[in-house]
Amino acid sequence: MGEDGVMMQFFSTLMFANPLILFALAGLPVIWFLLRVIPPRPRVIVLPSVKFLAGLIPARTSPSRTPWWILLLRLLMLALLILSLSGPVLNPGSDLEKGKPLTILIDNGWSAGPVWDKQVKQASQLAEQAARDDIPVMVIPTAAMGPEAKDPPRPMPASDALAFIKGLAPKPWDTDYPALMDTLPKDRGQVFWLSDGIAHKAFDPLAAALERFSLFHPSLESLALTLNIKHSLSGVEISVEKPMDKMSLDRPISVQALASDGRVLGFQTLTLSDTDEAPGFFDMPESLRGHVAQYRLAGQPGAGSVFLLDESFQRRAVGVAAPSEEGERAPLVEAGYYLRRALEPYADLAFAPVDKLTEQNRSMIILPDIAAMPLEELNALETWVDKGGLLLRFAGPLMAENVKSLPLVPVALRAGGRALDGSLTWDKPLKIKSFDEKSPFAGLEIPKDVVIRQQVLPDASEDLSGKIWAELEDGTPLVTAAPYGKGLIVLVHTTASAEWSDLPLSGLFVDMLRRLAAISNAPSLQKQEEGAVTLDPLMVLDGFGVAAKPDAGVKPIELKELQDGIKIGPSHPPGLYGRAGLQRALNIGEGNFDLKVLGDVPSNVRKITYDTSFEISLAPPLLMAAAILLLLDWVVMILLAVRVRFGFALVILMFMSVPVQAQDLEYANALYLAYVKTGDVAVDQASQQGLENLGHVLTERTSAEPKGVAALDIAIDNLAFFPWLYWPVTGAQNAHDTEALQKIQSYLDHGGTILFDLRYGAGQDAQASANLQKITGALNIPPLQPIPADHVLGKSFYLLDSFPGRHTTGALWVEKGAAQGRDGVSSVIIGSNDWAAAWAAEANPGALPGGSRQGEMAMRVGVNIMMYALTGNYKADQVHVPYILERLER
Amino acid sequence: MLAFLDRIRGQAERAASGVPALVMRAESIASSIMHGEHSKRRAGTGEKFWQFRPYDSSDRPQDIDWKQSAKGQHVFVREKEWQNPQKVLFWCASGSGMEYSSNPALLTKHESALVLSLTLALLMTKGGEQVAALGHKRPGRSEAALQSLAETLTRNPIKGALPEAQALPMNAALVMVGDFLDDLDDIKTCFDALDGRSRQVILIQVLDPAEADLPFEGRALFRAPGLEASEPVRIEHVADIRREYQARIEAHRAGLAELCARYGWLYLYYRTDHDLASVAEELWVKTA
Repeated sequence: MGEDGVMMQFFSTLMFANPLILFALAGLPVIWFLLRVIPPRPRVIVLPSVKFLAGLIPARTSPSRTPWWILLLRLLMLALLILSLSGPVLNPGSDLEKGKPLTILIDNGWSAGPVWDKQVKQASQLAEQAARDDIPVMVIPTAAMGPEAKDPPRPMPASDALAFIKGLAPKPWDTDYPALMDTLPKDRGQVFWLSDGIAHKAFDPLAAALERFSLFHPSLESLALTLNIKHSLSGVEISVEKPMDKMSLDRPISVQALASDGRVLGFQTLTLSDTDEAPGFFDMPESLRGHVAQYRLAGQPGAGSVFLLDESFQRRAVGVAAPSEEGERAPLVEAGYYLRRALEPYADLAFAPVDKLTEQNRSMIILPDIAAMPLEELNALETWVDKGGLLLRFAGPLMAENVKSLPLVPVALRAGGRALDGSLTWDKPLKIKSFDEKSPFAGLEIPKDVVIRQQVLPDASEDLSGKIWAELEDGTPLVTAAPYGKGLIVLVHTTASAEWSDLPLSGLFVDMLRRLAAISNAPSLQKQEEGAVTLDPLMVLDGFGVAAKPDAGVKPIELKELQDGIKIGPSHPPGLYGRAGLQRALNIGEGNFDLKVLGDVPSNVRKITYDTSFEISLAPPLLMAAAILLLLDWVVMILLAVRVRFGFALVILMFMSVPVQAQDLEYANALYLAYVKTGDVAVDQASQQGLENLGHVLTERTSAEPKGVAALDIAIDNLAFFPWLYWPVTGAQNAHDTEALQKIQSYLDHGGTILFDLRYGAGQDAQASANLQKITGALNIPPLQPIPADHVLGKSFYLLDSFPGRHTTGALWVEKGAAQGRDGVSSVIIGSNDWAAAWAAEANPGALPGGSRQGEMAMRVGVNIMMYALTGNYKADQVHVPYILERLER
Repeated sequence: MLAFLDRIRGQAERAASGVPALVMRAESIASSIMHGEHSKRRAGTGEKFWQFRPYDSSDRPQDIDWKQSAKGQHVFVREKEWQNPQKVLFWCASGSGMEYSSNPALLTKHESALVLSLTLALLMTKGGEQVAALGHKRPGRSEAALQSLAETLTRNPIKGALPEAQALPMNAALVMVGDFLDDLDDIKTCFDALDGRSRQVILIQVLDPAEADLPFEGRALFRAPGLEASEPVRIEHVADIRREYQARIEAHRAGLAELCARYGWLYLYYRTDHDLASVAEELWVKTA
């Protein structure tokens, strides 16, 4: 096939919805002509010698032309516009036969998750076509119906069908073809089956019943997979079931481990090769493993790609028998210490008396050298083991002395034990023989320096065959085990402390305990409840594998049903079922669903792959291209008209906003005194002058050196940079709008201090406080009190007992109690002595009634307020009290 | 010189205007040009030594050169060369037409005119002439006079396209710098009046390269600068009329040169894209 062939193929897949509009393309030459005739706007050129041009007539009378490339640009734009209006469609959909009703079957079982988007897209496309041709549509989802939907499918108008399709979602259970066959309507017309690519049960009979139909199927990459997880001795086994045996995926599959709160704890990438059936292993620290709530195939929506973990996967609950729960009394000597250190990272460990442990239904109980126990406890323990618990016992001096009446041991023991190391023996301490293949400890590496110095030995009459899990080099047993009822009793013939052997000091001890914990299982519940236990649905998965709340259609499961193997369906979707103390997960990966790719179909069935069948409308990209050309044209016009000045203006625009920030930057970089502008010129001037003088005084006398004075407009300026604000209150100030109030509140809440100055002196008239009320009424200000005699404000720099300004008698109010979280600095200080006026009068102290003395005192008040705002309550420290007292007495 | 530089630098810092930059430019040009005094080669009231001659009863005793007299029998009088400082007045055209430059890299016509004027003034004061702006202050040869000239020319530009004859004192030299794009008839009327007052006139015509060449293409709407609205001229193909325009400008320049020749004035033509220094040098050589 040559190039022509390819082109032909391309055009055969291109169709125009409104081909008549294409005739408008014939008009392009006319537009070309028009565009050429209409001249471009003349450039305006400024020239002083313009009068020498007057009366000059160019030789060519026709106006100058638009440059050819601009013309080309505009024509291209128009052509694109016309093309897009003609509605070109790539891959026009398969033609529907007119007049015949349309039936759409959609596979919406659990395996439809990964294909669902394509199915819906295809179904919508079919419905849209049907709407164009005015054909009734019947949509039949194939998943088993829940009890809530019993209506058989009916033909409906295409627009309704479209809405119905949009409302469909895949179900987390299997399809139900047999039930479908029963309800299949007679008058089906043309049938389209949008399958998920999996050959579900009874596919062939249904295909035969449908006779002629078109079958859509996805490409192999988007077929469903199922995930199954097993915890085994070698780790977390991942097995992924594929619909085809010989199927290799191009992409690696990522398995994610998620915690119950949705955190991703880890992920493992697998490649599914052609034949590989061996499971992969999830590489994850064992301490993290206990937190995993579910595993999922990343990027593969569907209930089958999620595997929920139930209790049986959780960290094993291990109990260590101890007299009390207080823990060990003598670390390094006691067995409990070694057990705790070994098991704590891997198991849910508890130290408790035996009866408590059996009550808690632990999966493994460890008895370190306990020979006798109260009868009740023994009975409870026996029952627990009988039901499936794993009892791990360690030998020791106590056990060696009391072998006669020793209950719950795998082998009968000889009294006295055997010391391999001591002054009266010939034996040397023995090492551990490598583990047998059948032993649960198989494969563990034995450290060379571990020796056993003392052990208990089984009675000679005992049959040890099959009971020995570990031996010493001379063939004497180290670990023996025997089943007891449904449970297991394991005896380690030496101590769990370092008394008899080095074993507890080695890593092998940890590994052995982990193996044992891994094979332990919590025994099933108490006998009287067994059989009648129902597990309520706690959480179910939807068709995409997303956790959801169970709805009314989900039924509780009998524990017995679960053990017998329950079928996942509308009343039992995959999810977590359980009750207090018992949880079971239903997973599709464990269910016995056939996962097989669609095989051959009857010859009268048309097979179509989804991706090749979608219509692609070319109008939007064409319109987009036209719009881009339009923008380009516009930019060219601007550049031609304005030339350099355009870029210049842009640069200016970019820098327009900078000055505002620059001022903030200045305020942020240095200490500024700030006052609030009132709008009253005299007051503002006094504030400005007063704060400037205060600034000089601060610079002279203290280490606070304000750089300047900022006059703030509460509505506009950023308050955050100033340690305190001086706010003279006048009658002219209006209440602030919400935004300004929020700003003030935020300033106060974040450590700012505002000094409100009513400026009226003692006997303040009601007007002043009304003014203040107007400003602060909507603010959240803590309760205030007249300043107490020992307030920090009176000693933050100078020792002051009054706070004079221009007036001397006005009261000063501060926050009641130490302001929490702001270093004791009152957020609001309210006074009426008109300090700014006093500060401003520094050069002319005669203006104050008290003369320069009063001016100095007012200045000291200012210094104290500044220090108070900056340093907080540190002057309130007790450290300074004696010194201050001394000075006060003097 | 250094003191002058220092002063204008100080002023530059204060005024932050273009004046000092222009003065600097003028100075750098002036310093590259040789200059000398307008010596009259006879005894007079100059600074320079001319000759010793025997004392005459008509001489003032304080003119006797005692050092020279002590060398011999006769009493000598020290005579100085007669130098005749001239008053040179400067006039720069201003207005929106002068504030034009076709390319940001070029000086405007007004700036060029200022630099030319100041260069010339600088050279002339070195040569002992007295300079001033037309219609302003008394002429002088001091640095202050130069500075005053520079400031007057830049800060208080003289209004009007042509100088006013009344402002010119009798027998002072005049330097006129401008584009002189007015009608030749108007110019002639003005020059006739000037001619009655001064014989020594230098006229420098400053044009922008865009005015001289009309380097535009395509369709354009030409407008005179400034607010005074003149009728804009629409040209469809600027390239077509370029030659014709250039001929008109050329003719105008020739007419102006011819006018100057008739009065015996010095005519110079300067394009703002040409080297200022070379023009100034040519000017200096011709005026010296």
